[in-house]
Amino acid sequence: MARKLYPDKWLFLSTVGLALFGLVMVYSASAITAQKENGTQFYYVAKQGMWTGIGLLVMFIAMQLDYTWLRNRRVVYGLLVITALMLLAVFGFSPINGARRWIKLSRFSIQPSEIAKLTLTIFLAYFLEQRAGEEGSLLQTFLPCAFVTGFLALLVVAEPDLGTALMLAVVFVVVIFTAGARLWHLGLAAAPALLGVAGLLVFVPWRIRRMTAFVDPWADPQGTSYQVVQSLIAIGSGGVHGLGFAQGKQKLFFLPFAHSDFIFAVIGEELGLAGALGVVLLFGLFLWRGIRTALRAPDRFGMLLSLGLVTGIVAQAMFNISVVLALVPTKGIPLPFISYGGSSLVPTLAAVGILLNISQYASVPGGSGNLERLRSLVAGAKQQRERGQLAGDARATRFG
Amino acid sequence: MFARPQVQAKIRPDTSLRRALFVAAFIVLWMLAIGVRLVYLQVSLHDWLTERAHSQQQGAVETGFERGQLADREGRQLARSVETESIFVAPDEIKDVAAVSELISQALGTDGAALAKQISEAKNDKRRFLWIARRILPEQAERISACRLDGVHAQKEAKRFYPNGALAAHVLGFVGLDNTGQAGIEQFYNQKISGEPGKLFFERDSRGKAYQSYEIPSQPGQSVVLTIDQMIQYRAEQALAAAVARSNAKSGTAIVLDPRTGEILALANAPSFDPNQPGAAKAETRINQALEYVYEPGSTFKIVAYSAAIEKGLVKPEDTIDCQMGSITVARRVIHDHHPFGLLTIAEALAKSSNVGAIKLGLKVGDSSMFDFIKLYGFGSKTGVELPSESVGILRPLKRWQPSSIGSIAMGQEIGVTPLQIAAAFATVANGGIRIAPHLVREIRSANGSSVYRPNPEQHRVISTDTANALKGMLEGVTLNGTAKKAQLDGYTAAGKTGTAQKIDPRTHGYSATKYVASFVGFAPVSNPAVVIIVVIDEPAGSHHGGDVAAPVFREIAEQILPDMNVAPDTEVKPTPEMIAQAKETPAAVTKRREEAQLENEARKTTLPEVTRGDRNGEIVYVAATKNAILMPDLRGRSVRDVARTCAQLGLQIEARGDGRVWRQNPAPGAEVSNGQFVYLDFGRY
Repeated sequence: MARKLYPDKWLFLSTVGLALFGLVMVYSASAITAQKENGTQFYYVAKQGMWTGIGLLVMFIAMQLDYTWLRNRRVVYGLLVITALMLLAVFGFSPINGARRWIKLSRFSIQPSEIAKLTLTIFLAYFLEQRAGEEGSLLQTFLPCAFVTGFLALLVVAEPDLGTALMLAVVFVVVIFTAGARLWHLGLAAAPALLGVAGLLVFVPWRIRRMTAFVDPWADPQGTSYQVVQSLIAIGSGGVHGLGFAQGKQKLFFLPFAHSDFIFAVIGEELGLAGALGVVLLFGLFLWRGIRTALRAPDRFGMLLSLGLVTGIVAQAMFNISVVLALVPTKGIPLPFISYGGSSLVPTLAAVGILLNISQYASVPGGSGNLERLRSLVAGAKQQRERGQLAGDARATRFG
Repeated sequence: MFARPQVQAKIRPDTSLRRALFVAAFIVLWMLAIGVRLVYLQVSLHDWLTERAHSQQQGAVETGFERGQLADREGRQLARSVETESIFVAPDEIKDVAAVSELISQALGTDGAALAKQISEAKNDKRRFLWIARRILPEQAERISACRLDGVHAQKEAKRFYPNGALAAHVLGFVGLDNTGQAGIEQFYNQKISGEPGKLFFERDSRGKAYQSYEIPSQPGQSVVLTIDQMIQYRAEQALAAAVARSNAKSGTAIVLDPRTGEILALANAPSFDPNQPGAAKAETRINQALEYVYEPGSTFKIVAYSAAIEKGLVKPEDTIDCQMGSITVARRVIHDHHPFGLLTIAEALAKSSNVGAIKLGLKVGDSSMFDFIKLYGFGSKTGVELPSESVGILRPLKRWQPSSIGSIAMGQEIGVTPLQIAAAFATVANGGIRIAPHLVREIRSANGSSVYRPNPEQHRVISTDTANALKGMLEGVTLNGTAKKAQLDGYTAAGKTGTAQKIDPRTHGYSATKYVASFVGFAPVSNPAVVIIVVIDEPAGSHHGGDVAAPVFREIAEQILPDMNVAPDTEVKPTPEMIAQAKETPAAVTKRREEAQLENEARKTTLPEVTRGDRNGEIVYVAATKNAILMPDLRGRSVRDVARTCAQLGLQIEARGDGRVWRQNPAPGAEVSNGQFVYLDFGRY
């Protein structure tokens, strides 16, 4: 390709736009809390600003690196091992709000579950490319993927962080479904997952309270449904035009986690329907350009990887917004790009960096992601595999 | 290893693209659902949810805010906020209303039955919150919290405290129960001084038992540095109060002004009040007479006619004028002098305060020019001083002047002025003819100490420097050989003018034969005036002449404050009885002796003598002071409030730890400390 390639402009702009918008909203949502707790209203926004800077830097670096360096067995399994070790390491730290989710270093903390999302996506894309043509195999393809996903998800559930575990499951389902898994395999995996969720609901009382709160939040507005009710009040009182930037009242006391998990409620309250829909539309733009990148990716690894990354981010955003709007039961999960917290923002922007690198190939006229091209890729991979098989390459059966 | 070849045999068609698009479509549908939900919540349910939002947000209670401090020009605290406790109850948490009310009222010394009734009513109304005692002493609050009653809570609230009691009460003003300024600087700059009130929310928690409260802390307001000098203010108040008492007068006012800057160094009224308890004083006592009291100035106003005549070149101070043996007819109205004078120089006519002389000058100047000069001097308009309810005085527009008006106005009748206006006029002369608007604020600082306002007082030239110098000389004549010999100072030259005006009797609308306003306004030293002082005594009994009643107050104030202000003496010290034997001293010797006397005096006197302080009378600071240093008092065993007041008076800053009474202090008692220094105090209970 003699032509110089450029990352997708819209993908880039929507990401930077969402991140900067998030910075502004973090200020609005946190200023008063910060003033009260830390003596300066800029406490949270300053930290978030720093993380946004670091995140964008990481994104730029990832954008410059050819994504194919990830298609390397050592890199993929190395990442997997490191992630698993970090997920185990969190149990060595004292809990914050009853959960062990962070590895606390001297100045900042890492949240391995956020990194797990990225690692899992890379692994699935790599592994499924390796298994191209064998996607329908339960033993060769589906179960190994399910096993890795399940292992990571269980560690995350144990933190406990059900929200992020759920996002791991979503990435798994989306990527393996797109790769071509059989639907009954997915159904098979859903059964124990549903059983697990049911078990958690039965044995962890506050989860079942959250469920009932979701069904009828107004039944107990001061108790179990407190968060949902306060969030709905914030959104609803915003109306069409909103109360104006920084004019929101709910964040003062009523709305818990106003600058993190419930920041969308602050957006709805202060910027109204226009602002809230604007955020949804920006994620829509991000989704469109991301899917386009996936469809035009030059190879199967690139396609599955970009699809996994973009759906992971957008699905998490929609999930977070749905929690705020009481469309689904309350789950603690941040709104990508916008919620406060560097441990979520930096991995997310790193993911976008990879996505942006893949997106360069989408600009090639005529696209490389047409059906024929993919088919030939599949065929090529299959031939390769057959040749490898004949040569007695046993390494690929590691998960058999 | 497993049977891969068999599986591989069955190649399925690639569906990746279709499936990817299916995933995307699913997310888009999800977005649409979110859009619909948003419209439903923000449009259809908007009113209902807004109402819910308001009802819960209004459950918030505003707590008091911390007003910024007021300080004098040296940074000594004149008003500040102290933390007090307020007690509130959450009515439906209280089970046994009678018992709880009884315990609280015992601690507070109030009526238990009334409190019980209040709480029951609030309980019936399902109110979440009820104040039962606001801004009480920490000891009282402690007694209540010691009872550990369910549903009874304490909240810290700031209360305004004036550590010096009545000192500068009319300048500072006071605050109402809601902590807003009701008078003085407190009112004028209320918005700046007030901080943001805090908010207190509560909610029941999920178990419906305990209350959760959440406080948004209040933001402290901006602080104001005044031009007032605490020491000069104190001297002026003492001298004035003594004079009012001595002459059995109704009231009195004294203002000390720096003519070079327009800064008001002291502004005193007698009688005064304690701003800590403004309710205890009569409403008329709280009026700031210095700028709200309008009176006919009488002879002090003659300065306008004299300066107009000289400025316009109509007369020179040495010219003679025929005072017509004390009688003149203006527009068929006959006006008399208090003494019959014949031929006098212009300077003598002013010194002897001849009405005829002033009237003749007024007639020479003419109505229109006279009016212009009156306006230029600032009469008939507010001085713009930073205090509320300033009066403009009474100045009829030129077209409503009677033919005889020029005569009356020239000698200070038919016109109403405030003491501050007269002081500003004399400051104009003292400042070489340039009038600088009098003002009270040096600087306003934000809570973090950065400057947010510095005054830029309006200034304009009224008369030329030559005219001003001529007038200064003439006014010095008043104290040397005119009506104000009692205004002569020990060690300083002084100039000024007396005023003795009859008050208008409200019943007869004529001049009263018994009610007078005696005033003196002057400045010192004459060649380079450092202060202008006006003293106005309303309705003195006995002698009513400005030269007898007011001039000595001028002298008392000036003689005390000029050395304090480090103004070098410019004339010899009058011999006092113990000095009679001494030979005439050289000026250098006089200066030296004065300095020695001053040092000795300062070593002896307390830093700030006791101020009248209502019922909290009698707290004397036993501290000896040397010229630049103060000796650290022994604060051990004293309460927070007590210590705060003492340190405020000494100009010491406190760094306190713990509460209760002082058990350790640094520096040690008797150590030399300087103004503004930090002292470290450990409080404890034992």
